[in-house]
Amino acid sequence: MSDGQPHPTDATAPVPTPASPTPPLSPARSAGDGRGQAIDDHLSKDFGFDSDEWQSRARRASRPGEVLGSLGQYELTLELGRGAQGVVYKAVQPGTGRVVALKRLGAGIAPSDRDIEHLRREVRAATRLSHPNIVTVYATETVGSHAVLVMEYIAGLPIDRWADEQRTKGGDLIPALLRCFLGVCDGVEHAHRRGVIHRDIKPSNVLVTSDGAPKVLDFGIALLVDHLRLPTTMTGFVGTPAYAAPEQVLGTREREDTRCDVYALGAVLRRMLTGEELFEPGASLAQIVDVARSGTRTPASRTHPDIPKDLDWIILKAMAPEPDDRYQSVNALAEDVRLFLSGRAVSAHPPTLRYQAGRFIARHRLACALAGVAIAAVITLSAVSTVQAIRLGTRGKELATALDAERIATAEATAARDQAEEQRRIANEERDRQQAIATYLLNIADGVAENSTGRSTIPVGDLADWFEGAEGALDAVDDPVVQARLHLGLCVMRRVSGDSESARTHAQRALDLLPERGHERLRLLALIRLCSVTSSQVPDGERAVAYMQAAGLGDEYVAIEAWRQLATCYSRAGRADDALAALSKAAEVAGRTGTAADERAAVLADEAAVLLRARRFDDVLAKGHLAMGAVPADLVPTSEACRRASVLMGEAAYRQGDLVLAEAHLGRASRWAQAFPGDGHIGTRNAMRWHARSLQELGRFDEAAALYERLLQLVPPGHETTDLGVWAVRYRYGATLLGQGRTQEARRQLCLAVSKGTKPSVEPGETLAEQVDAAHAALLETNLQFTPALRRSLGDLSWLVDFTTGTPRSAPDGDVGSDASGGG
Amino acid sequence: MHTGRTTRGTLLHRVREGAPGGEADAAAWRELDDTYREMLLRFCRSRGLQHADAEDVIQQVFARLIDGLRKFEYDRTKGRFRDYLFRCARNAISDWAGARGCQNLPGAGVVPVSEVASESEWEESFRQEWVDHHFRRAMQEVEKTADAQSVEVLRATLAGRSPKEIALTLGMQEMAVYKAQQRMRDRLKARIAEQVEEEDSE
Repeated sequence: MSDGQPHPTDATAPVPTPASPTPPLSPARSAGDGRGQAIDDHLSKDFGFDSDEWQSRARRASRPGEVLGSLGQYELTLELGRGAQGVVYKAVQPGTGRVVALKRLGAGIAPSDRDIEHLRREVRAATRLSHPNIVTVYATETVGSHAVLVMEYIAGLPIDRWADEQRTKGGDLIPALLRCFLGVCDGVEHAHRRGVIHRDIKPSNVLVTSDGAPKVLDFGIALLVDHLRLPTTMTGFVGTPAYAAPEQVLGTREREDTRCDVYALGAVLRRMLTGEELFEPGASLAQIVDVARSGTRTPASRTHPDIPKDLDWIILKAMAPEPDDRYQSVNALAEDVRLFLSGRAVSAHPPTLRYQAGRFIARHRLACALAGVAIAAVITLSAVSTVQAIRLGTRGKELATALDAERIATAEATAARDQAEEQRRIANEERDRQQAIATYLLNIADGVAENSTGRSTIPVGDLADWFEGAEGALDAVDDPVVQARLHLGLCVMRRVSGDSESARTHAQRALDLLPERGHERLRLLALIRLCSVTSSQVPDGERAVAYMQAAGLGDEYVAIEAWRQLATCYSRAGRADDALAALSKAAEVAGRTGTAADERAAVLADEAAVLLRARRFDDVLAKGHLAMGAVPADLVPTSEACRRASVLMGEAAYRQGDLVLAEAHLGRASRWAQAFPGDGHIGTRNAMRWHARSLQELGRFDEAAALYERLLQLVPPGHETTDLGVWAVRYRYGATLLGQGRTQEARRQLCLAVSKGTKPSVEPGETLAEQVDAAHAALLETNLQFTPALRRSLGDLSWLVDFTTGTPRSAPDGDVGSDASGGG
Repeated sequence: MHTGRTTRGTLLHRVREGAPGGEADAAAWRELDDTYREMLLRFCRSRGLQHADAEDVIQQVFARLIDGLRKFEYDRTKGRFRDYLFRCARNAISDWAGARGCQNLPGAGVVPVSEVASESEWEESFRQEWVDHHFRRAMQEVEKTADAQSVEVLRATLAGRSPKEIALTLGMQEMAVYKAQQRMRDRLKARIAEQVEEEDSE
């Protein structure tokens, strides 16, 4: 709208020579003193505030400037902008005094009645958009030979000029720009959801008000312009070169969809951040088409180092030449910007891992198998804890070097078949490969860390599929040790992705492949993994520890894992003292090997877990405090061990009946976990569950309900019916709802809780009491019970029985009734 | 349009000094443009210029204004900004008319000292536009911040309707209409006082 506002830049203009002597219009006042008085005099004299005169002066001021005449019923007050497609005016609607903006489209061809009808239909959807970030179109009219759009008048700056102004103001620029940009995205997304594509998003089509609120205008205008055969830009397409998607520039019109708006938004974001246009003003059509074809885009941060890299990737992804490579919706783009704003990792990234992996694999089949080993190694080691996984990112290079030695050994083994060729290849690819493996490792390590923080951008299961598949090069490796490593890596991948059956197969396969002698550490690791993915039987655990001792690995890092695993086996078998003894061995090893604080805390948390299982609650609390103390205070909130310890302490307090203390511990753990690693993580969900339970029992139903609702949202699709945790959550949620007085919803949740459990076989003809007992038995089987109080408040349980037998009927009306079964 | 109070106070200073680092402060120029363009346009039109000509002249006015500011021709202690703006506009129109050989434009061309009446007519016209300008800006600001009903009352008042009529249409007590008018008057006055003060600050 404000296109082409002239700016006074002519420095060579003649120096004004004031018509001298020109008396001041009223006496000049001296600076400082008497200033307020002077202004007051002004106001009375010039503005008529000393009487009702101000009204007529204000009326005069607000009358439209007669200068521009009128357009239809509207009185034009100011020309706001002028472009190839028409003129925009500020105008007043005389009847209402409403100030509007008018866009008079083109002077060319007079629209016929059919055109008008078509126009109305086309624009109807666009004009019906109502959103705080979209300029409202009040009406479309025809005046003479012109199509006229009547729009909300916005006093604002085009977003590029607004961004430039923010830049001169200093302060925290990027967040301010991004928040404004998110407003633009919201508006465009709103339109997309209603089937309206803008097709000509550019800075001059986004005005920002003085409050910093962006307003997108001209939705649907591109269609109109097209239809009325109005002059378009030089390239003949509707749109503006720097902001038009390649498919628009290249004229592949049939492919235009909402993703061309995603592209334009990326370009707008780039312009806002850099303050520069993508093309110089005089760029030729050839240049533009060339860039559109090749998709050459310089990362913004190359010329503007203050722009963070993540924003580069966001812009590059939004502006990808191929629509398929862009964000597939404006929402996805906005989500990434939000992630950036909240300091989290964005989804846009230099060539995606899969892409990178695919490309790498295509080039280096064998090296890839070895990279697989590296992945396996990284994952194997990192699965212990998130923190460790992050640490491993920096160890990728070391690993790559170590693997390199192994790789050469492998090459020598296969050399018997094709020695000469192989060695030449090694020589050629040496450097390339080392770099690639290092990069690859780092990415994988990042990916694993990310995965374990519950924001899975790497489908670990898919990766495992790939390695197991024909392309995966698993069989291309001849060396059984390398193969064993791969299997061990796959074991962890499968466990992470929830497939314990395959995990066990891989662990066993690794054990089978390893030769009798040598590779003791690897064998021990395999034994530990096997034990962890089976049901942690004591003999398996003892076998691993015995092997460790026999192999003389008692003082190595891997020994800590062996002892911890054995402790888990003992604890599950109810042998608390043995478990504690094993853990004190683990602590000893940790002390000797100078393990990281978090590792020591993890052992202490393990001890607390054993003690909790043994119902030694006071000891749990003491041990928990020790675990917390083992980690530097500033690392406590992000320490997995501390979170676990806090949950255990909460549970212990809960079991002791100290609900307030329990809530304090659990609330803390829940808050830590939601901040890091986030609520997608299983540990976080556990903390949230326990916290919700303590809140519920404290009668803080609203807080509890909110947590339960969130937990139910987090249930992975497809796990509704198989996850025991879900029934427990629903059961507790039901009880919470009862507390809130939402009886009907409570019953629904309780029915769902029970029906997902074992179906009780209730025979027709049973007495009501028998049926209730059967239902209750079903509940018991799911580790849940209706407490007497809950049962009383639920009233007659027969509705429940009906539900479980598959003949649901409406629940009884009475909210609180007598307990018909007399039980409880 | 930027009516932000913080930037307004230093607008002339920013135009004069440029942005930190010695660059021209384009944002300040634009703000100056946004603030005064409509007023200057109306003034030019009231002096009989066609729209397109007025645009040319305004371009010249801004060029003179910025140049003058940077050369410290304008000095606050010697006069108000609006007087200086008037002289820039006055001279730009004269130059334009002179260059076009426009003799029939009232008051155009070199003004003989004797034609005092003609000169004061120009002044009066400019003063009117200046008052209008501040009313418009203040109303824009007040309409944004005041409650919807008061805004309605103000609009109806300015449309020339009596308090009785307004009370009827808006379903208010007549006394409430008076009160709303009073409220809007006070807000306009306060806002205009701020604007005028800001206009002359450096």
